[in-house]
Amino acid sequence: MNYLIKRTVSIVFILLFVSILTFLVFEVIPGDPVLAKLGIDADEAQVEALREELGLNRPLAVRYASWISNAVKGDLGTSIRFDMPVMDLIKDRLGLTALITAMSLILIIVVGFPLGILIARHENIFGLGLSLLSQVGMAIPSFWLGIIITSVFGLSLKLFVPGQYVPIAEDPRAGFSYLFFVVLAIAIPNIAVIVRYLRDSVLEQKGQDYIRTARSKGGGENYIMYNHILRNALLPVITVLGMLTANVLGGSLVVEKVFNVPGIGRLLIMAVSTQDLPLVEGIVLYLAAIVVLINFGVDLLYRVIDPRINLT
Amino acid sequence: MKREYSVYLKVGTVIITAMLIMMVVSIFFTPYDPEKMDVEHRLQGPTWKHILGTDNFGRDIFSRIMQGSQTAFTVGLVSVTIGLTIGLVIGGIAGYFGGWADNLLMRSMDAMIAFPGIIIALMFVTIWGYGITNTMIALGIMAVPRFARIARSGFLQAKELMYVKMAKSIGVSNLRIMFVHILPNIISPLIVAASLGFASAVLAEAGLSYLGLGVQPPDPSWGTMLHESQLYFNRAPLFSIAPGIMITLLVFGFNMFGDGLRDLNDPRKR
Repeated sequence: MNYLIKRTVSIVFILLFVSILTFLVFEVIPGDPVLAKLGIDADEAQVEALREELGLNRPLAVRYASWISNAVKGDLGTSIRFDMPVMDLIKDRLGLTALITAMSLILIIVVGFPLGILIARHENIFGLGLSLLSQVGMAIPSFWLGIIITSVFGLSLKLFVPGQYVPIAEDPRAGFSYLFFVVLAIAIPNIAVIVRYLRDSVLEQKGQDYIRTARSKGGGENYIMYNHILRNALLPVITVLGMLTANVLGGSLVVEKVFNVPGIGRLLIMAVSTQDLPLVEGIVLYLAAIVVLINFGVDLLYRVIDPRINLT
Repeated sequence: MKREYSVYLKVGTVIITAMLIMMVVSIFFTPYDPEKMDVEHRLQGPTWKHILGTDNFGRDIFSRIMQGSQTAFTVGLVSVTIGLTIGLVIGGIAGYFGGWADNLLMRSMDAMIAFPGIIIALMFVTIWGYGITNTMIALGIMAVPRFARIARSGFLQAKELMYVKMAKSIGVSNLRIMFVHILPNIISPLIVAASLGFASAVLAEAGLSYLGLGVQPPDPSWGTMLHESQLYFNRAPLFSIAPGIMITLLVFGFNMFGDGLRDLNDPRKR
């Protein structure tokens, strides 16, 4: 329990730092938002009045406190461009991005783990070739893969209409098959990451003394692989899943644009290109908080799965 | 398979060298002026005159690819330098001095790592504006936590070692101990990280530029080319394919180089 408390406290601190960083980045904007709004030749009184109105005359710490307490309550301010609460905009789009992220993670796990094991079992030129291939996979930009997938499966094979996402609520089949291609573009580079980590992890275990002991006792290769090596090799890979979630989410932000999917990435990019600061700030805070919490979850999972780690 | 790292190192070195040569050549010579438009011959397929065809303004794609390597190398080098320098200072202070500074600095690094990289970059370009300079600064800042963590663990281990204690006992200043005595001993993991960081900077720059939020035209960039080419995939597929392959190759090269170097330094893998 002690561990849990310690971890929770540290998560709270990290969240606090995340919010402070976000707040500071948006507060130290070059140029004065008041002067930007009123023009340089506004008179003193006008400037003071607007400062008062926007609450900019209060000390930084007070402003942070009120901003973060609102944020915790679910009020992230109002978008300039949409003239709507930032929270509502995020809620509208988050579901789709969460679905894409979840589907990508599932695909990555379902394909990545068996593939990684397959590659790790072949310690020969074939294994080296596949390992080089996984290095290439890691280097491919997911959005470029998206462009290629769009042209091959969309334009040439006509398996979907590029740019025409059908909401899942309207037509689940069309919606999911469209998303499948989006997910494919995000997943492939990340599958390569898993494969690579798994292979390294398996190869490291293979060299351990207990494997030699198992072999000398007459254990078959398959038996040793599944009962000894993998049980130990899979654990460290689980920690990578936390990192992958951030990767996948970041990948989704860009790939959404390739496929014209109305998720949170499109919203963020629109917000960035229209300088909608409250919206960018809100999305950044929200996504970072999600990533922190997911990492926390993965970390806990790891501790639960590995009996050697004492939770107390 | 024990010599795998040497394959990695060789492949990485060959690719990086080839790219470097292309970049240097492109400073003095490209088959065509990369910015010369020729609307009559736009979106052509590959011909002997234009081996990769022409883009939507009739510019020679091969020349633009060559010139784009300058941007890729500049972005990689500058952002790694920024990240490495700031990371070294932060990690050095945290690891060498420890205490509350360590706690404060490393917790803020943890917080930064929580942001998916592209978000940090997007956050900075929102505020500071687009363009190659701001992209490099944003990507440099994005890389700081990784360098800081590695530097910290190096300094942390080194400060307990005899040579550091000896240097201290004869009155060498902390700054001199940190950067003249310790740094050369902990440099190799940082070089590995720099190589891998170079790769991720190139990848991130391509992403930002593809979104239209990174390097802006007329500065040539492979990411910007992808941004411009997407609409014309049917008519000129090479316009999209070529820049993507270049990005992949360069990222692959630096990843291989970094991984090979890491394994070279790892006695268990030798």
